[in-house]
Amino acid sequence: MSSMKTEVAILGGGPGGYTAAFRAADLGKKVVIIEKEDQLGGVCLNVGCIPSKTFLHGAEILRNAKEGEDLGIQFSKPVINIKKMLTHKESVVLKLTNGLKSLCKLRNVQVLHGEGKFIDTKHITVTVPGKGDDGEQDIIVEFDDCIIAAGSRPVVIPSFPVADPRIWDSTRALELPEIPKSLLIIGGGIIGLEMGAVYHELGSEITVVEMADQIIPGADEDLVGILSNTIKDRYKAVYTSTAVTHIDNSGKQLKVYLKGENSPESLAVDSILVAVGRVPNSNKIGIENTGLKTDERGFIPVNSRQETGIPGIFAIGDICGNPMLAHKATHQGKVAAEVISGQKSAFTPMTIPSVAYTDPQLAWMGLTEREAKYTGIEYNIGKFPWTASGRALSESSTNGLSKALFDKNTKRIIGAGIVGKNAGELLAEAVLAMELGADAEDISKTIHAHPTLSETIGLASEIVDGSITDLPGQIK
Amino acid sequence: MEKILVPDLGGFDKIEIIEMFVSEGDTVKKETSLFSLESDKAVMDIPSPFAGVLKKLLVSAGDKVSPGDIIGEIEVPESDTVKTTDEKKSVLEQKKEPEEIAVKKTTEVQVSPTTPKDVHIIPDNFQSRDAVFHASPSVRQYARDLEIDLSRVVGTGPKNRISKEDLKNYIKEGLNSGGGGRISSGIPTIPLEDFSIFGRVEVIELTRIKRITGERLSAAWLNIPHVTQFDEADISDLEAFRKEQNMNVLSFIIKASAAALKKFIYFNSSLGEKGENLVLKDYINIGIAVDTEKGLVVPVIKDVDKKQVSVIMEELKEKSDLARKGRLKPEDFQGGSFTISSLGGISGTGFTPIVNAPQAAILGVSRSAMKPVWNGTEFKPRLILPFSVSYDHRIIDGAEAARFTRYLGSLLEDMRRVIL
Ligand SMILES: Cc1cc2nc3c(=O)[nH]c(=O)nc-3n(C[C@H](O)[C@H](O)[C@H](O)COP(=O)(O)OP(=O)(O)OC[C@H]3O[C@@H](n4cnc5c(N)ncnc54)[C@H](O)[C@@H]3O)c2cc1C
Repeated sequence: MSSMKTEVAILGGGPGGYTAAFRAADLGKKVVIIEKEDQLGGVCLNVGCIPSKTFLHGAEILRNAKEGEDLGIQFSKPVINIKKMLTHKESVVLKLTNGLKSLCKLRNVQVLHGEGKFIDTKHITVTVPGKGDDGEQDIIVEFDDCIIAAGSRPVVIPSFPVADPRIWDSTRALELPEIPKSLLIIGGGIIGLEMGAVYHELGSEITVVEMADQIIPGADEDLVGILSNTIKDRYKAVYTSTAVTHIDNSGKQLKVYLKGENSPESLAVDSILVAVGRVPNSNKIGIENTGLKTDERGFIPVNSRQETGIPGIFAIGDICGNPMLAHKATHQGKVAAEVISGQKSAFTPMTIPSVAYTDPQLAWMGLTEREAKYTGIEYNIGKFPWTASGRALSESSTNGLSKALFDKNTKRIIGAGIVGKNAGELLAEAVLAMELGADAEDISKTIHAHPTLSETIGLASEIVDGSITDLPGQIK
Repeated sequence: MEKILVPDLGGFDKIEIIEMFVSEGDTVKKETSLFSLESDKAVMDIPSPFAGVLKKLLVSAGDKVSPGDIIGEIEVPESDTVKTTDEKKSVLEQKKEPEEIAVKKTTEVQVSPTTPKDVHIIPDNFQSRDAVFHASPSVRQYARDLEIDLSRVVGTGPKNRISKEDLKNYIKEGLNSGGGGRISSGIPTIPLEDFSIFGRVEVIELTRIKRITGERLSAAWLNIPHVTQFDEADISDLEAFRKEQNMNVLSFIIKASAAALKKFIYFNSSLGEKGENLVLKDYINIGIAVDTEKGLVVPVIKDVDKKQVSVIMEELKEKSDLARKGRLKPEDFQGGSFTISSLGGISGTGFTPIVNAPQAAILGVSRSAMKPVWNGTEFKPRLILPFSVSYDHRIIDGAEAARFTRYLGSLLEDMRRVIL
């Protein structure tokens, strides 16, 4: 048992944790990161955003090769080397995690690799696994301030068979254990559908089961419709309003029992990916020794300064609530570090954008049309179909739609949604417009380069201010 | 156990709880008022969404709440629980249980429950989606640095944007006036004196409604060139009729005003943004200034021209009751196109009300009195009602105002004309 003292202890080295650590160090604090895995980077770098996007890039190449035929370019059937795909993914992850390591060195941020648990509101014990002959060792870290950034993990459904290698969570799926002939994805949210896109291009026959009445339940149905029509053609089936009641794993194939409006009673598949959500890791950090109270879902409540209510303890990222997104975690990390350093910061975004990196991509921010209707907000809307975009046509990507919502009273943009190629990149303009309080005319009079897909946002705004010429005119 | 959430408050955010009506352990009915909130404009009661026993209350008076916040838990008797019609949902919940139970256990061990309270006085400065003024992220931060509450700042940038300059001016104003910074109007501020030299003084806080009304009145008084036209009406016949019908005079005045506004449409208009246009309104919604303990509030009676006097009277009674209890909803204040301020119940022979901007005119009603009136042969005792109309001289000229007040007077003298 040894002990050490630091000004700021950060529990968890994911995107929230390392961002907070670097910001605090830059503001002059002595910082220690406690991370149980061997690598920094958390879910995002190791088993989340980055590996999934690396594989999605591969999937995109495969799809482009297929679609080349329409343009008069034909490739021979691709040969997929899973081992190489995996080493490539690992090298991408390693580049990033090594980058973090050197950023830690440069800033003098110390990293303790071991599981950390609070003993009280000023101390964490870190159990550092033994090296060589040395057994494991406990280090007590005393801190002035602590930022809890311990993230989340996939929900496990206990009624499903445990420890069957054919039933995966997202982490397992990103290890590409095999390319099953048939893969059932339970949960039609962002993570499930992204993994579906990868395995589909790698050759699996995909079935998706979603409990809500549409896939990606948080987004507007007109946008989701375009995505779901596309994948319905490609996949074996997409069953919405359907639940999996039971999985029988005694046979060669997994037998899955369903309960739903239009679903069959059962299905036989080779593998299953369970992607029904994530739970915060708050019950694994000795939180009971701090007096901190989580909400009923296990999230640690915080205010806009990321304070938990216990002086000197802050929480950021997945562990303090939805949406569980890396860009939320990093921004909250900065706020916590700044508040600790005496700055008057607060986490006050008008919106946190969401992106599904599916094919086509689906991205939205601000209010959805459904929310606006539900809350009775009066709005003007511009919807620009990509069939009228020159760039979309030349990229064979007319499968898209851009829309923007503007408050009738203030005229300012209150929401936007895009489905189509690169929707995630295109959305950034709308987020900036919202934070800066732009109205339709501000956006429509901002010159968007031609021919680009970004024009579709400008054109959706032109529909609202009435200046559109790319669509049949509305005579006033 | 059901959670109680703060409902949508018509676009308001972070509203203060001013009074709690219940405490933990209370049995409440559905729709029982749990507590009341005070926003800029109104006090609202929040009703219980369920019937049952209040097991937990997470808020107390003085806390600020926003829509969606959990304020407590209520134990609903088994038979009352709304069974999840969505069976699929319950399947998911069932499945998720072990994870959640694990989490719950930890919760139960906790000794002293804590929730992050806003102990700091530094405002967060969230930019609300529907606020009039907009501050970009860097301006929000700058305001936090200067500890300025952005909701008190007027944006002078294009499209109502708040600039860093606006924040600096706000501070300068505050320094110059010795109090909280105010909207710069270019007029010299009134220096305060040290009153305590002359005797004991006490400083009390103005109610929120008073502060906000004060700001609006100064803005109207500074921006609008006011003129007030005085007139009087012989309401002897009306008085006899209303007594017989057991009705009040104000309801007739409201109805007569609607008829006068229909004829003199400029009194039911607003001046457009740089004073280049006039917005004429097709609707006649009349606000009635009601004096309450917390200050002046103005509930609006909508579509007065289409309502019978008896309906107007009922609505007037209902709204002034609600106003006095502080229970008006935001929509009750919105959409007024003309205002009446009546001091008839108190005293006075005339006054000059301030136009309720951006409206064009306001009617002030004073106390009626018996007066000798020469009818050509003799003096007769008649009941005379003095009234005044203040108006925006940019919209209405004097002769027209005189015609308006006379027309209104003639309607009150013979209410039959209202139906003509
Ligand atoms: C497949 C997948 C794809 C995703 N794609 C995206 C995407 O495209 N875009 C996006 O924004 N988000 C994406 N996410 C979500 C994103 O990964 C998370 O929101 C993000 O990683 C949260 O960051 P965090 O810092 O809060 O926590 P985490 O990244 O979860 O990091 C928490 C860290 O704390 C460590 N830890 C936990 N407990 C302890 C302990 N007791 N002691 C020491 N260390 C501990 C963990 O090992 C982990 O490293 C994806 C997630 C998944 C699973």
